[in-house]
Amino acid sequence: MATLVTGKGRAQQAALSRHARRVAVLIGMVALLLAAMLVGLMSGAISIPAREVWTSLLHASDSEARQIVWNLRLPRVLTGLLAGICLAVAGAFLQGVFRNPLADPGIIGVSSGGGLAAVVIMILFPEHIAYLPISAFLGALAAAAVVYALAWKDGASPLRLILAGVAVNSLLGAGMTALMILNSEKVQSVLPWMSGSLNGRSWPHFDTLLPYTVVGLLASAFLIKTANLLVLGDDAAKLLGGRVEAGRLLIILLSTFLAGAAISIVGMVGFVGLVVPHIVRLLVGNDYRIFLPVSAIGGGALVIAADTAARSWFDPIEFPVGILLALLGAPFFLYLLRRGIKR
Amino acid sequence: MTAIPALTASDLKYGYGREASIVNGFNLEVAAGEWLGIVGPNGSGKSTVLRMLSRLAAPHGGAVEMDGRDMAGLDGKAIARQMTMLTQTQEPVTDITVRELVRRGRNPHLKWYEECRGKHEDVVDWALRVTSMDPLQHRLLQELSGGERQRAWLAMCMAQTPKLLLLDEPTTYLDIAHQLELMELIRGLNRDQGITVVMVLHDLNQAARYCDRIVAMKQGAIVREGSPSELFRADFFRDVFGIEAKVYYDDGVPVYLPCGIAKRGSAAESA
Repeated sequence: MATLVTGKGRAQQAALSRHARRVAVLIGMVALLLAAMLVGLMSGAISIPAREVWTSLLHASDSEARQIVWNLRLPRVLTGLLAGICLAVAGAFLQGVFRNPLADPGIIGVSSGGGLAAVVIMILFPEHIAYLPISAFLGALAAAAVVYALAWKDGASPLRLILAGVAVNSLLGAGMTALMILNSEKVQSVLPWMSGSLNGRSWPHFDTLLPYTVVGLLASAFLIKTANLLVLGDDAAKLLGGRVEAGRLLIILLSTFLAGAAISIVGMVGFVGLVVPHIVRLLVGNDYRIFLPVSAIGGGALVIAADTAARSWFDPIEFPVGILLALLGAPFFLYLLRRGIKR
Repeated sequence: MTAIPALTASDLKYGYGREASIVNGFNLEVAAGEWLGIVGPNGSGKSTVLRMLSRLAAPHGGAVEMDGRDMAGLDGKAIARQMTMLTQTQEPVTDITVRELVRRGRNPHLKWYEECRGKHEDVVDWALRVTSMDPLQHRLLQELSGGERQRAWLAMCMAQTPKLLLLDEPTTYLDIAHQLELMELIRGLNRDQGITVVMVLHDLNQAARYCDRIVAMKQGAIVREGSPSELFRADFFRDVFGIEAKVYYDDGVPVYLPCGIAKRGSAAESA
C-alpha cells in the first residue's frame, strides 16, 4: 500500500513538474518577447532610455524621441513580431505534418516561389514595385501548389512532398540566379530582400501583414487537433478518426498562407521557422495546444532581437536580419543537435 | 436467430495491374467476443486484409460491414469509436509522454470543440491501468523499451474504448517474455472487457494457445479455418506452409514442431 501511494505520488509529481515547466517556459517566452521589444525600441543609431521610450509610446508629442520610437522603431519592431509569429507557426505546423524536424516553410517552395516572383518584379518590372508583396505572396502560393500537385499519388505522402519540394526549390532557385546574372547591374537592390530585411519597414507594412497574421492564427486554432493526430503518423491518425489527407492539405495551405504573407513583407527570412519550433518542442513537448503558441511568441522574439542586433551592431550599415539569423542560428542549431537537450 | 457478427468481410479484393490478386475473394465473419487469429505464409495477403478490415486501405472489390453496416458509408470517428488497430510498427513520435499519447485515443469521442477532461480523463486512467502503463505514464515515449512502447500504443487504442481490436503481428519485434506479456494482456482485454480480437500472427504455437479460432490464408484467400485443435494436423502445415511438422498436445493445447521443408507434391505448392 505504501509503495502504491509513493508510486502514485511520484507520478503526480512528474505530471505537475511537466505542467509547471510548460507554464514557466510560456512565461519566460513572453518575458523574452517583451524584453526584445523594449530593447528594440531603445537601441539604434540614437539610444533612447527606457523611460523616454515609455513616455513616447503613451503621449503624442513633437519630440525627437517620439518621432524615432513611434514612426521608425515601433512599426519595425511590430512588423518583425508579426513576421516571426507567421514563420514560426508555419514551421511548427509543417514539422508536424511532415513528421520531420528539419522541415520549414522553405521545403514546400514558399521561399523560392515568393523569391522568384519578387526578383522578377524588382529586376524586370521595377516600375511596378508596389505590387511586390502581392506578387511574392502569390508566387509562394503557386510554388506550394505545384509541390503539392507533383507529390500527389493516391494522397500526398510526406516523403513525396519533401522530394517534390527539393526539385521545385532547385528549379526556382536556378531561375532566380539566372535572372540576377543576366541583370547583374540591378542585383544590388535585390540582395537585401533576398536575405530578408526589416530595413525601412513602417506602418503600412505592419498594416498589410496584420490581417493575414490574425486570420492565419485564428485558422490555426482549428487545426491544432488535426496536427496533434498527424504527428502520430498517417495510420494512427486515421485509426483515431482523423481526416488525414484533408487535414494535411489544410495545414499546408495555412502554413503557406502565413509564411507567404511574412516573406512578402520582410523578404526571405530563413531559419526562424526551422529553429524556433525545434527548440520549443524540446522545451514543452509535442502537444500543439502549448507548442504552437510558445513557438509563435518565440518566433516574434527571435526576429525582433536579431533585427535589433543587425541594425545596432554594424552601425552605420543596416545589416539584413536574415543573414544575422543564419549566422547566429546555424551554429546554435548544430549545438542543440549535438547536445540533444535532456529533460 | 444468430447475433449480428461484429465484423463481416464479403468478397474482398485488393490489387491491380501486375499484382492482380494480393487478396482475391476474402470472406469472413467475426463473432462478437471471439479471438480470431489470421495466419499464413509471407505474401499470403493477411496484412492487406487487416488493413482493409480497419479501413486503412480501401478494398478494390467487396465490402466490410461493422455491426451489419457497410463501413464505406460510416463516418471515420464513428468507426474509430468501435474499432481500432495496433499496427506492427509505429511512427517514432518524440517529445510526447505516454499519457499524452493515450489521451489522443479519446479523439473519436470528442466533439471538435471538446478537450480531453473530466470523464474522458477517467477513461485515460482506465486505459493506462488495464495495460499496466500507469507507472510509466509520465515518461517520454522515446525513453521506453520496445515492449513498453508497444504497450503504450495499445493503451492509446484502449482509450478509444473499442469493441473490436485488430492487431497486426504486434509481437514481431519483442523478445519472448514481452511477447507473452502482450498476449496475456490481450487475453485479459478479450475475456474481462469482452473486446473482440482479430490478430495476424506469425507464431503458430501462440496462435494455438490464445486464439479461439484460426483462419489460414494462402495466395489472397482463406484456405483453412477452424479451432486450433481442428486445424493442427500434419497436412495443414504441409498444405499451407509447405513444411513437415509433428503435433503434440500440452494441456489440451496443440503444439507443433517443424521437422523440415515438405517435399513438393500435389498438395504442397511452394510457399
